[in-house]
Amino acid sequence: MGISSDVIRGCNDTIILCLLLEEPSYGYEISKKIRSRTKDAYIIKETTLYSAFTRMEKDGYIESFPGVSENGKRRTYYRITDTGRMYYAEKCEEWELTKSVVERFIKEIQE
Amino acid sequence: MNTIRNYLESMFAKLPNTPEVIKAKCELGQMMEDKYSELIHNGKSENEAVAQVISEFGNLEELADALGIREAIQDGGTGNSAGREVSLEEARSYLDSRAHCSLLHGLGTFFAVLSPGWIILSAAFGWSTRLDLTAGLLFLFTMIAACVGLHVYASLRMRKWAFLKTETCSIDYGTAGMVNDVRRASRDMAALQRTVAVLLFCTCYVPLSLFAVAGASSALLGFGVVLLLFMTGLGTLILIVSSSRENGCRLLLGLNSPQRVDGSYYKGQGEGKYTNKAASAILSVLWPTAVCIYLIVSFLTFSWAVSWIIFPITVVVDRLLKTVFRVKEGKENE
Repeated sequence: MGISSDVIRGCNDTIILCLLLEEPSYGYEISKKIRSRTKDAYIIKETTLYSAFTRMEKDGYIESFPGVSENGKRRTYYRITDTGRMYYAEKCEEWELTKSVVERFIKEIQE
Repeated sequence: MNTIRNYLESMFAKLPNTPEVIKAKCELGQMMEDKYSELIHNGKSENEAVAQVISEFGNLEELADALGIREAIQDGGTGNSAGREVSLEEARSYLDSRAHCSLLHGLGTFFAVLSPGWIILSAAFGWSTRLDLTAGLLFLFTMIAACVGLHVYASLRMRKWAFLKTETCSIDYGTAGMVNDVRRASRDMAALQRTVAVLLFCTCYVPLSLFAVAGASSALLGFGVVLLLFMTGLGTLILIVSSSRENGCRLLLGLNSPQRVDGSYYKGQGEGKYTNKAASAILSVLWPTAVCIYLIVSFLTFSWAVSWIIFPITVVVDRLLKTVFRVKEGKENE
């Protein structure tokens, strides 16, 4: 059973910002971390990731800067801004609320 | 890795050529490259790696709002805005028939230039019987007829391609790449041919003047004139043939609007062309200098009969500099 991209779409920002809170990072590294942390349950598409980057950079939640990755290649790195931290906190709260609402409707079907 | 790059190029080919789009293409390309090299590093086969990278790429629809290209993506879906699509086979066949027809045009011109040859020869050798005159005229008219015939035939054959100039057409990314390769491959050859043609033009009078200086017989002088005609004709033929393939490529590449990613070939991207500063400095003052030297030398020595040779020499220098240093001619690439 794969994850539905419709459901997770609203959470991409939270996931990316959470990883950027730990340390600045670049495209492929982020997608790799998402994959390994979810044990291959969620594989983010390149286009999804890139459109999230451009959108959040426009909104001022993250900023980009040139950097060099561990294998020596020049990559565009992203780091989280203060506005981004606030936005992340909001998103976490929003998720807690959403989860508590949806959970009330989750139950095992009894035959 | 080439498969991935081609995939990305073709996905982006029809999008507008804006900085945002170029940046997105570059960033996505890097992500795909990173993923690919890691998969290969982890022992996946080339095919598996390519398949996985492409299947996890996603779709451009998601980028539409981020890049402001929603309209372009919808247009690309219907394909209406692009006009008539010229296929790879058509492009190839167009280039071939263009080369073929320009050879015919060149031959036609060659025949026309050579047509009075027989009459000149008979005059020079003093053949003046009625039969000789008839033969000379017959040769003249045959040559002219051949010339007209070749020109008409070549024009008729090119008529089926007239739509390239009258209708809105476009070529897809792969075709543009092929045409650009052809163009790059034929570029050096064409430059060489042009240099040979110019050299022929510049030296065509040499045999005649040598004969004249040596006080040769009228027969030899006549022969010199025919040789002059022959070299001029050959030069023209080479000149016409040399430009055909490149002009054809330029026309095809110019079909796509430069506002699109696959139209950006037209400006000569990736041709490794560079401008040598010294060469362009020399080129910019070459012709004025030549004229000055010509006027000064001529007025001082009154040897007008010799001094004009500076112009053919300047042509050769100009061509050589342009060929060697690949200085871009602004007008040519508009």
